[in-house]
Amino acid sequence: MNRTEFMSQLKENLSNLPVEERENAISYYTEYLDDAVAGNLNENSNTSIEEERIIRELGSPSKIASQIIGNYAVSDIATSPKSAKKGLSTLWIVILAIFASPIALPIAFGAVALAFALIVTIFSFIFAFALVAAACIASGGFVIIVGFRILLTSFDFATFFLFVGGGLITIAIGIIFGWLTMFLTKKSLSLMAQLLGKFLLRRNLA
Amino acid sequence: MVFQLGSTLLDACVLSVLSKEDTYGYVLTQNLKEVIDISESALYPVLRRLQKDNYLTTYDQAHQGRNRRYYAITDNGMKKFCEYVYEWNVYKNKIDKVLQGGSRYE
Repeated sequence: MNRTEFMSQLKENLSNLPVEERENAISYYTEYLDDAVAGNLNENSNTSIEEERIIRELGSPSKIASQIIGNYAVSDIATSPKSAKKGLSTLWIVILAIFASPIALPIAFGAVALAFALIVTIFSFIFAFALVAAACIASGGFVIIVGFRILLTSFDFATFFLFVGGGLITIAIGIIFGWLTMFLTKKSLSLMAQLLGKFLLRRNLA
Repeated sequence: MVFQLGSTLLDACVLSVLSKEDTYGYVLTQNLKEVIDISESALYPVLRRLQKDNYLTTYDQAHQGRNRRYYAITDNGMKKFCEYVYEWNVYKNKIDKVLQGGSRYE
């Protein structure tokens, strides 16, 4: 990789950082390369050969960038004041930092996949409850209507009470399921928000 | 190196070099690499963090027509360095006790 490629890749990988941070990093590595080349030149080599060798020693620009981003995210969380917009961009940088560490990457993928699976499961449950609620209320109502029809056509009070009673019980069950759906939705949303907060916090201290 | 060099220890090493004299990125990296096992890109995040924590400051000097950024330790940095030296001695003695004394020690 030559110097231009290295620098432009590094710049690109750092594009999510604030301008000052990015410029600072670019200056550092520009100067590093200049000093390294100057310190190593002899009559057997030329500038571009030395540059390529030193760039190879430095490693991949994306790995270097991840170190810089991770470091920035951790220190920024600790020191910056909380404004909503800044909080959002900081959150984004933290999420990038979670994925930035080469060691944590497989773990991060696993964690995200697990979290996703859990969320899908919880919402399937909630959806099922909602369906049961709807079904109960609908069929309960239908049964009551049928009960009235029977009353009006055959004046069979016994059957009428049977149907209306059964229908009301079913509706009641539906309402209970409906309430459970609301309750579960609220609980799981707040739990997820809490866990996400704890997870991000723990990552910052690590 | 068999044992991992933690980031705090790396901070201490950088502060140690800078406590003797100001220097710039490349030379700092090369000096430390002679003794400890670090990668070429390891120092930039350390320097950035130490600067943000006010343990270092920087100044630029022109050198052969281009810019060179020097890192200098601050008073806070000196204090922190002394803390690190103390902590390291405590830690070193504990480990020595365990490694040389065996399981008798708590």
